[in-house]
Amino acid sequence: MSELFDKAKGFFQKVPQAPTNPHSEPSKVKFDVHDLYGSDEQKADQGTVAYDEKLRQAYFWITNTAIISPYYDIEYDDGDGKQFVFGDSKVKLTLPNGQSYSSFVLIPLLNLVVRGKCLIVGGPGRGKTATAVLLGLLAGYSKTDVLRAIQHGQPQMTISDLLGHPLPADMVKAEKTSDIRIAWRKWLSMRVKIIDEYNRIPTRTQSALLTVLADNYAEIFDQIYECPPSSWYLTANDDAGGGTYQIIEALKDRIDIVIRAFHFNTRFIEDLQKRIELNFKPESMIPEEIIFSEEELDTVSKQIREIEIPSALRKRIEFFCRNFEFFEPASDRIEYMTKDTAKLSGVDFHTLFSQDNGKDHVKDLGSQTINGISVRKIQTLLIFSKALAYFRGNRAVELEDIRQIMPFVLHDSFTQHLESPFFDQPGNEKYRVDRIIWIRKLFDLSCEEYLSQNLDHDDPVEKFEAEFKKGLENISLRDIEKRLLEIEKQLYTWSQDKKLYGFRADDILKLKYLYQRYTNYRRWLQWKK
Amino acid sequence: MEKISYGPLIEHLQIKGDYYNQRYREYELRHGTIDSALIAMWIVQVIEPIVSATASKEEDVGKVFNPMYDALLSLLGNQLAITFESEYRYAWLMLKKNPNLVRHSCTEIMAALNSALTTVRKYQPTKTMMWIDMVSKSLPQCLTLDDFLKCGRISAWSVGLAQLRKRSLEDLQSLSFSLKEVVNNRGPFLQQIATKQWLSHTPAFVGKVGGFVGNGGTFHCPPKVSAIDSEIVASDNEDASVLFADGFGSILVQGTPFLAKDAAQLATTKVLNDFRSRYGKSIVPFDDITSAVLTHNTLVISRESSFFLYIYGWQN
Repeated sequence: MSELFDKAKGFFQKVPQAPTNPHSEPSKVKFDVHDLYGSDEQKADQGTVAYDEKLRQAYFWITNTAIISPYYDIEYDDGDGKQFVFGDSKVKLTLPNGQSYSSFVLIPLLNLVVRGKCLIVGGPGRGKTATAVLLGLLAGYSKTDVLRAIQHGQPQMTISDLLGHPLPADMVKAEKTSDIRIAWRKWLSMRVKIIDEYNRIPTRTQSALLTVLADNYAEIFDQIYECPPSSWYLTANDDAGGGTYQIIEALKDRIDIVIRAFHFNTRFIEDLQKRIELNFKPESMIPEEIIFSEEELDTVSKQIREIEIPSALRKRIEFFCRNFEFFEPASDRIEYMTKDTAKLSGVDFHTLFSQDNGKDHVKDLGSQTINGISVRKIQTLLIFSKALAYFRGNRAVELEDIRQIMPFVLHDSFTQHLESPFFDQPGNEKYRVDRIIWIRKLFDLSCEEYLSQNLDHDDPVEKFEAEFKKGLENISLRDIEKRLLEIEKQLYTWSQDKKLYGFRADDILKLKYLYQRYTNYRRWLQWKK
Repeated sequence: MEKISYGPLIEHLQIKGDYYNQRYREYELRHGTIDSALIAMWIVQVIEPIVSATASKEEDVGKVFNPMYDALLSLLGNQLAITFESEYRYAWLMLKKNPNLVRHSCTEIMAALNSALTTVRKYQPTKTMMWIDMVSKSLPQCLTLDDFLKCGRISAWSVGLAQLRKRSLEDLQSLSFSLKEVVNNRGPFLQQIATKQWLSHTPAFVGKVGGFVGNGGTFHCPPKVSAIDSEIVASDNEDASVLFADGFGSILVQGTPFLAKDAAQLATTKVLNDFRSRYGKSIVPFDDITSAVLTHNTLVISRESSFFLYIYGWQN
């Protein structure tokens, strides 16, 4: 019997030797001071440690062996993937040619290497906590340590339960609070932090959690504990406020990425049966080859940051993001025409929205949300896009990486404006319900508009920016005046357009900024004389 | 990639490598992509020889490497070190000649050197290498940063940056004996031009400046010249420039506080009669002169048919 168990164990722990995503390695171009000394061979040896391959091996071990998640919702299609349509409602199914992934496994894995904050949402028994535990184990911690470190949200949870207790002896002896030593909870020092059912934590304790989550330190009795950079996994049964406590806005805002746990596909019950019969527990059988050490995670994190985002793609992200904050009825000054201004005023959004006459609200992407995109979310989008490209073995982000990751990043931060005429269009009703496909659709529409404006080849702001980036050193007064005139001409051209949309508002403000920088420089030149 | 071999520099980069990588990223944010092969080449071929000549300990290496690395990233970022590579390379490498000064004032020297190169290139683009050569010869005798700045200024004046004449004459007086000797050994003309401004004993045509803006010159239309506050001001009704001239060269400095219209209104040919009555008509034979300025040893005229200013000089 033990022989059979060993065989089974060997099967579950097997990591295939074949590369998971074979491709040629492009040369590295970034400058690194450390390359100036030491031999190239030594460097080449270091370069051959393919952590992206290890990351993929970890992903495939989890999806093929540990977690039964046969959902490939992050699709990469190399060309004409076969499509099928089902039912009266014409449900489309695409069979992608490229390697596709399950968001439920991939995104928590990427979160581990970018040290983000991932919220896993789903009903009970969907494997939310099990996934988080597996990732703790992948980070090199023992099962006992990971289980001990999980913070289980419950209505009686106090700040001391969460962070630690003052030492009783010091409480009696201490003459001032700084003398009181704190027995900090061990989970604070770990690089993987798991908060189970975080929506069951009382509001006051949520605030203490916010400090750790946002600022990476804990505080009790004037004592500070600085936590190491870590990956966070929070789980929630229902993130729409159905938990015991409402989640505070600031804590919600700190969540980088949100994934949904899928239901169990009943065609895989046989696999469940086998697990029961063999007493298989994936967390006890993680192959050593896919466990990451602390140094390896640091290196992966560094390598991810080095992944390039081509400027053509960054421009698409910029274009997408600048659609949402602008809100014309909020003010008569372009700087204050934002959804933030409207929100702070307390005036009903729908009342203000009805004053925004004359625009094509179906075309205006900004009409679909009642808020814009925060800086934090843009940063998260960039880093997770890089991580996805890295995971796929690329050295530069592709448009599809951004398209695939975006809905998970913006899932919780975009609040839909359900009264937007866009959602009333035939066929668009489903976007009111499913945020993932809605956000992906938004990005697709934004890219279409970007292309229709030919911004890849004819972006006036880009020309001004390129000129400005060359610096102001030794630019003559005459040249400055020429540039100022060019800006004025461009603004005049735009002023002839009848309607003002969000993407244009940011362009206008950028030119105003450049105009101001040039004016200041001109003033300095005149003073210098 | 080219490699460095100087031990203290390697030691310094091992300690501060992350900081320098961060600086590189900051410059990339500002200027866009900077070619890594070019940075490596400059560090190995230019900065390392200077560092090895000037700093023997790791603590001193930073004082020299840090400002040079910053200047390099800036110059590669704005492409100057690519377009004018030989000039910067030659100028930087001369710093090996005075290790002590470079070790103590590297930041100031780098800023002054790069700024001076830009200025010399702007006014006398063909004489930049000559300027570097002059500074290079006097550099070993410079004991202080002030000496270095003075030598730079006198050299710039010597290659034709006439606007520095007044300041350079003051500098010449305050130079140390050894530096004076180096400067005076440059040729017989320096003292003569310093005292008399021009080489010719009688009025003679010494050169012309300006030209049509479309051909890379200064003026949009034929200029006029006038004397305002003891300066010679040229105006084309759009911009006013100040003329500086002596035996080393003549240049127009743009972006002055004078108003173009005022300068044009003050233009006159009256002084030309004085000149002609003293020195005859044959020296300035033109009959389309629109304005003239006469000083005790210089005559500047403008013509209706020309975009240039014509300069005549003599020893008074």
